[in-house]
Amino acid sequence: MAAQGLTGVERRFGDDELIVSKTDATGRITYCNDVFLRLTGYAEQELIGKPHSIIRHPAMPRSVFKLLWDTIATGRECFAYVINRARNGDHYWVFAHITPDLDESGATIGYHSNRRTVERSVLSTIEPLYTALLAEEARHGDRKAGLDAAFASLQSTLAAKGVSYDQFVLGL
Amino acid sequence: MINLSSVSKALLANGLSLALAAIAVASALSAGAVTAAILAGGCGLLGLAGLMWLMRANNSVDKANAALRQAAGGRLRARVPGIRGHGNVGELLRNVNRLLDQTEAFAKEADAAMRAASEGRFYRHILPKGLRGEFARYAASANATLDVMARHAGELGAFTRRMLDDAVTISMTVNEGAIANASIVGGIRTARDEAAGMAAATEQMVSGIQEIAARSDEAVALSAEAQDMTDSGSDVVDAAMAEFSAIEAAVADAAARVGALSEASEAIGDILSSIETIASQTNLLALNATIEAARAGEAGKGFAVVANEVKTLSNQTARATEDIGSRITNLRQEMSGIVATMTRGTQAIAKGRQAMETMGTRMRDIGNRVDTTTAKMADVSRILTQQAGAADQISGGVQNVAHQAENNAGAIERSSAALSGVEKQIASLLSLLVEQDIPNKIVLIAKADHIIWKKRLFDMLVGNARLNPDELANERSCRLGKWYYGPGSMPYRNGPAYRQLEEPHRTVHQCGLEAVRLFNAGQVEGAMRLVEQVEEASKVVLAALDALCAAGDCQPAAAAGRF
Ligand SMILES: Cc1cc2nc3c(=O)[nH]c(=O)nc-3n(C[C@H](O)[C@H](O)[C@H](O)COP(=O)(O)O)c2cc1C
Repeated sequence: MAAQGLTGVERRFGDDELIVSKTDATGRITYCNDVFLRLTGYAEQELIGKPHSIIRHPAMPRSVFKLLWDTIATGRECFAYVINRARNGDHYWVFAHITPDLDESGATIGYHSNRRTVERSVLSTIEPLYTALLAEEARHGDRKAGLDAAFASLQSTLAAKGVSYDQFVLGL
Repeated sequence: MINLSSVSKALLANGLSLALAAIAVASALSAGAVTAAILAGGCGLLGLAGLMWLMRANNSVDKANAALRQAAGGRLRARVPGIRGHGNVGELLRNVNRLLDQTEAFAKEADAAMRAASEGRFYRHILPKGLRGEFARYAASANATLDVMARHAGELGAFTRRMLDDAVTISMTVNEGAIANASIVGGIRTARDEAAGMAAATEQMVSGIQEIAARSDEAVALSAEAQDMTDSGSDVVDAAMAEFSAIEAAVADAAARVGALSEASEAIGDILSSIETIASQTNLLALNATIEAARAGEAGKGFAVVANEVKTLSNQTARATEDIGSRITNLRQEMSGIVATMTRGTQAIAKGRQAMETMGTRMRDIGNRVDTTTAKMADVSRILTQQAGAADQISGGVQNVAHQAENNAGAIERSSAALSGVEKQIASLLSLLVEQDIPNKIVLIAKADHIIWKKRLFDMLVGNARLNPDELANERSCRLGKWYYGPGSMPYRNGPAYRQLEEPHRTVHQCGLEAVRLFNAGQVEGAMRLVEQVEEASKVVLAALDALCAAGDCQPAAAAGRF
């Protein structure tokens, strides 16, 4: 995604607010709450049925989304620090928590995400990490190879710290 | 009517008022009251708009209702979509969504935190951010509970950790004990085998001694016989000597007689020469007489006959004496031959006597010697019999020792059996504890595992177990190996203890496997040497594990909990 159109302006929201959205099983938005609409600057009808990547920010490494999807696809919850892009090119950081939505039989029928505010101190860890992952992804000509390399480097960074991804993100 | 909501009633009233307005317009027009008709029409239009708004409101209420119905049924994912307007109805719908957002967030968080707690991840709290009011309060109290649970789990963890520590220590002690037992049993077995061998050897010795004793008894008897024989031999020699003396005397006598005979024959010779002289003189006389007779002629004739007779006689005599002379010469020759023979005979006899005498002395000598030999032999035989008795006692003693050793081995084997019961229990306790989330558990368990591995090798060496090298773990497939080469050891890889562990650990496994192979191929000595190497290496492994443990304790609890 091109970096053009970014304003560099950061949007903030309240610590007592949740940015909520829901998607179908493929990641198309089925619901977003008023905080979501306020921060992104989209109208609800512009978002419903659209892929969630509509608010994707170019500073997000693909390997983080791979980890996200790998995790939720197995029915587990996933945490991630995400930078999102508002309609006008502004951005906002969230601490996203994504879980599967299950029907009565326990089958996954979609996903749910609650996003919370991010402690400033966390970004001093996350931003360099994401920059490094992005660089790793870009270093390889082949998109897939870049993704795999970055993913592997993320895993080994965690292994070197001796922590799981969950422990890492929750411990920040 | 009674079941209708106020919105529905309003809709109904609105509908009715619309109908009334329509009637009013119609009747006003028919009565020509244009103004009234316009007013009634306006009323109706307003009513229509009201009806539309009311329907919208009703629609919103239906949407809210649908969402809330779902939520009331526990399906918290329901939301009201497509909210427009910012009036109280719009806000109503937004509030429905806000309520559901809060409720669902709380429910999902609580679910996730509880689920994590059930897996021991107490650090997964309900995220309080974004939750409001009571939701936030409940979250806080649930989190406090989680903290208490975490503390308890920590205490339980510490307890379990201590239990694991103890179990590992017990396991190691028990197995070291079992190893000691096994090697004692091995030693006893060897001692027993050696004692049995010794007993057999002593028994053989005893029977050898007995054999020698019997032989020397025989020798004693034989020498007694020999004594008898020498005794009677000397008697015979003595008798022979006496005989010899008699023969000697007889020969001497005979010699003397032959001498006398020889002298007599010489005398006869003398007589013969006298006779010879007489015969020749007689012959001469006869010759003369013949001559005289011849001279005397006829008268002499008779005389001549006599003279002739005498001549014949003298000739005959001469011939006879000659004959006798030659005979006597022969005789004398014979006799001197006899004398010579006799002289030789006496010499031979003298020599014989001497020989006999020497023989006699020798015989007596031998007799004496045989006598001493017999005495000595008897001594030997007596001593040997005593020795045989002693050896018999030794053999008995050795057999006793062997028996004792057997008993001891039995006792130790019983204690080993008891120990192996404990071992099994400890092993199952360990495998229970392995399931627990205990920091450093693999390192701790590995200590026990490697002692157990060593013990199995000892069991094999002393013949308590047969091992198949294909079924034995190698340095990568054992519990420690899996951890070592797996992701669990990541936090330790930069420390020196981690690197120090690899080489001796590999040695433990490879030497162990090789020992099993050698043992199975019958090369016990080689197997024993390798097991010694395993011992040495496993000491280093244990030290490295201790060092790792110490390093592990420095790790953050969360990280340590992962391996
Ligand atoms: C419930 C849910 C919420 C998501 N929220 C975001 C989000 O806020 N921002 C974002 O960039 N991607 C979000 N994603 C991930 C997107 O689906 C997508 O994987 C991501 O934007 C990367 O897009 P790309 O694969 O086209 O690069 C969300 C996915 C799910 C299932």
